[in-house]
Amino acid sequence: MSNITAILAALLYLAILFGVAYYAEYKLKKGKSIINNGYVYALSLGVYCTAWTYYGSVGQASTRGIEFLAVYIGPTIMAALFWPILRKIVRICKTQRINSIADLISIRYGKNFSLAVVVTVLCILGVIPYIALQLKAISGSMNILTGNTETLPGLSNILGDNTLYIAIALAFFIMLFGTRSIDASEKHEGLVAAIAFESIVKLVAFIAVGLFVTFGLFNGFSDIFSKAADDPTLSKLFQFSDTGSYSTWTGLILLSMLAIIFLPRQFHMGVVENVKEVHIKKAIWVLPLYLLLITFFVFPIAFGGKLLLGHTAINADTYVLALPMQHGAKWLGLITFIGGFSAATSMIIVETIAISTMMSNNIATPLLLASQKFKPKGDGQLTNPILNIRRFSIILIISLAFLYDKLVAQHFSLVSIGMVSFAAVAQFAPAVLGGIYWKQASQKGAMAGISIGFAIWFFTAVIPSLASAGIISMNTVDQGLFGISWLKPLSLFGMQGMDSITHCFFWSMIFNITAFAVVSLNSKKTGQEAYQAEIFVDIFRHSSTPDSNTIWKGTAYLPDLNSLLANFLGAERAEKIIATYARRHNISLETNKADPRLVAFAEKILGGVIGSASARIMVSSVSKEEELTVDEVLNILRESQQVLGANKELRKKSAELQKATAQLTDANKQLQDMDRNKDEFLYTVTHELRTPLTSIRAMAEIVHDNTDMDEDQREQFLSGIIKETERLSHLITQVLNLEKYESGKQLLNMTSVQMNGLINDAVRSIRPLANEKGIQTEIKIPDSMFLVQCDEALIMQVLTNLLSNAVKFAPQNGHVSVTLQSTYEELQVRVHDNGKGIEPGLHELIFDKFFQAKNQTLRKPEGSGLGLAICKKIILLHGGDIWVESEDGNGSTFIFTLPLS
Amino acid sequence: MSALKKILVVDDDPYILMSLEFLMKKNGYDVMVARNGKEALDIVEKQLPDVVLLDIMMPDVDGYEICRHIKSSKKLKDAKVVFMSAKTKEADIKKGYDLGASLYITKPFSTREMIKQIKELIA
Amino acid sequence: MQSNVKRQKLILTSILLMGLFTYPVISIANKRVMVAGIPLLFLYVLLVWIIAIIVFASITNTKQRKEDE
Repeated sequence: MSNITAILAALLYLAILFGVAYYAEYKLKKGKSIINNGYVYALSLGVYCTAWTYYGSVGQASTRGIEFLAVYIGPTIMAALFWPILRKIVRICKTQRINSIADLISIRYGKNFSLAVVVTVLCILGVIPYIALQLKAISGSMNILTGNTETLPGLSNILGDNTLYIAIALAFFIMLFGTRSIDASEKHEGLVAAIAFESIVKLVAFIAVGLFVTFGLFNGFSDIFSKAADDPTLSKLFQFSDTGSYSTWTGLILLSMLAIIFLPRQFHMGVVENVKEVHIKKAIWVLPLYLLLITFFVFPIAFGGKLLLGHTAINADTYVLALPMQHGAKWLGLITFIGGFSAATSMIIVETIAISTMMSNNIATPLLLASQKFKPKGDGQLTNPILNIRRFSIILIISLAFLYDKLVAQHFSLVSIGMVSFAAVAQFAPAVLGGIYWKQASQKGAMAGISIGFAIWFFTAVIPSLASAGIISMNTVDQGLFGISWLKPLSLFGMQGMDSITHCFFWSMIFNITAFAVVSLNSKKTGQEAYQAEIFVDIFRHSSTPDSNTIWKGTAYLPDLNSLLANFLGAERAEKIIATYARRHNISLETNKADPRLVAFAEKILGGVIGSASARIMVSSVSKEEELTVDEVLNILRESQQVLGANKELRKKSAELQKATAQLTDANKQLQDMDRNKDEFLYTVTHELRTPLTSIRAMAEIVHDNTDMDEDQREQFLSGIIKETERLSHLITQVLNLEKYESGKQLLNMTSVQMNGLINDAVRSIRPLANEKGIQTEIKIPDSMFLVQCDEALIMQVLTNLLSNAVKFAPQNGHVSVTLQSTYEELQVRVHDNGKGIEPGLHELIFDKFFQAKNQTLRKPEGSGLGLAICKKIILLHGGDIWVESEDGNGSTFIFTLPLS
Repeated sequence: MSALKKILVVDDDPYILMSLEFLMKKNGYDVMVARNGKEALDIVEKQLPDVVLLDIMMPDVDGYEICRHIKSSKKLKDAKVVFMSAKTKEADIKKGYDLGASLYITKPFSTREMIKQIKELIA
Repeated sequence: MQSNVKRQKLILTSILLMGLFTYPVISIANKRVMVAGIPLLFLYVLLVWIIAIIVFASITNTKQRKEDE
């Protein structure tokens, strides 16, 4: 296969990658995020599998057996801890706008600048060789694909080197999709989509080779294994050889457990690019499954390769590609090459973005800002310089990796560099894990731990590999540092029996953790640190209200703050952000002095753009900050926590209370109304009872005390007593009746009643009363009969009541009439008198209980004041209606209706 | 011995009016009756009674109003007002005394007791 | 509450896995034996791995409404 084909295939693949990334961003613009998905998230974590997995694990398996699997079993075990650990880190980073592991550590430990620099440098040193390794894999695989066995180390033929063009294309891709927005904490939609896509490509390609080897070149798994079992060098690999390999195995598991979280690329995909915390739950089982699938065919390919190509000079690291190529499956070879290419590119892309963010935020930008004697002008002038710094960092990293590959890396096997890298990032684990679970962890402790871990890592891992590559002399390795025998890099303090990586991991971790813990316990923390410790460790308590607690104390002016933000975000966006924040937190923008919350917010926003260290420098350049003591900080924090908690609780409670109060008020009002009505009713009733009782008693006493009074007078008093007694009993009956109707105890005794007859009877019964006043009565009833369902006695009561009222109100010699009419639906009875009428305002009131009593002007003797109220109740019980029509001077007409059906 | 003391009885209940008229006469007072507020105002102005027995709840002018009138009139300022009412609430009673009444008798009352109290009042 | 139980289950599983995958437990499978044509050690690791994935999936897939601590 020609060189051109290979490079075209690679570029075509890169073009597809661009397409995927563009498609994702296009979709996002249309409002649909394709990376907002747990599976995509889990696949993007597959960036863990690099060219080292793709090519190197076969090489590893063919020489050291099962050992390589530790690198995938570690993450599997760690996956279970994603929910407690990774989720906590994600939460912290989201609320604190953290976009790299350097930021995480420096923010946790009091926004410490030097800590950020150390972490960044360690990352660069640890990871650039690893990136170089990927480039090496690409060029190596291309050579195999094209049959070009001649590798040219050094830079002699740089322009003829395919890797150069690949590297340039990659740098271009990274700049395009990794530096879209100035805010590094924003998600890179296209990037994540591309990485997830690459994870699929490398998996499919590797499985394709696996199937080809297992079932194409051999007769399945048992065929390979049984053939391998016959080969003594291979069958040895079926087992752990000695206890030393147990310790290596365990060490590698532990190391890779840390790597799956702390490698810059893993941190970037797993934390910075995480869209939703729930996605982590998917990753818990999808990632281990992915790792299982991608390593499933490693043994068959490794043993198959050894069995078929073991006699050749072909490096076991390249068996994946060499096997199909050697057996004429050129197209499969191309696919395999693409798979390996995708594994390498995904790693290069993500790692470069992660490192470049750290470099630009923690080293370059602070230097730039410091050197320019920065004065905020507020015109977005710094947006471009910062993006350029980031772009330059990307180019720098790729270039460094390229150079490293050409000058150094040719001397190493794939795996060893990877493990050195793992051991480097493992140095962050104590500071990070301690930082999120242990409040006592201090900045000095973190610095001590990382520094000493870093030093031991360098001494035990880097020096030996540099020496074995011939870059430095072997003296140190053989004789120990300064010739001191217990300072040999590969057997520190004389310890033996471990391989170099486990040895490095063991010692660096021991020293790292010890220094971290001891120094932490013996150092005093600043207020800033104590605050961050509080926030980080109790993130789930604090994150629900991330912006509300502010411990910033000092003076800053709003215009300064505004123009500071404007420098990085442009004036318009800065103003909008500040206004939105102020509105949400009810901060007045009228005053010249900036609210402390606003200052803290500005710092956080800037942190997302230029990293926390630079942000801190920036904000302090426009403000005068007063140092807070630890106690002050903790008090503020605890108070605000309590207040917030209490507030939240209070708000909830007060809402509940309000509701309850409203209900109670309602109920109470009803009760009060009922009560008032009842009180009033009772009062009125007793009042109404008192009057007849008074006269009865007075008259009785008079008759009793005055035996000598004349007969006529006695007669008068006695008949008065009788009349008043009657009035009293009538009143009592009425009250009881009313109570009965109101309480619903009265059951209607419905019968078919002939209304004509009923009216005649009623009129007849009041005629004597009418005759007394000389009142004419008139009945206007149609000829036809009217049958209605009703309680005869009660309707009779209503009729009598209305008629006697009419007689009462009609003038001397006046007239009263009763009219009966009907529609299809109801019967209408009208009782008319020609009295003085009732003013309109009282038309409704007269049906109230004791209305007369309350309105003295209308009071008539003998009325109980309950008659109309009772009439109304009775008619309503029948489903009818009752009202009065009256005009002043034209008498009044009481009308009631009864339904006919 | 001075002239007969003049007593005005005001109530809209005919039986009470009748009873009190009888009783007061029998106890040697010069009795006048009024069936409503208007009549009462009329009579107090003309007759200047020594004691006014006043019902409160009446159509037209109520007892409080009459009392206020009496107490604010110079020539009537010596007249004693006795309320007799079915209104038994504290507030009503207090209002009666606040208006300058000498007595507030709640209905129903014993006429015997009442005569005794009125005699004490006039003595 | 529910989430807390889930978290504890996950932590427990990871501890168990750590035990199953490392010395001394793994030495049980460290024998020169082939099962179904596959070396016992490989088969053992594969099986534990598969079981782990199934357990993870079943722990995380239980429906629950609240995601918070």
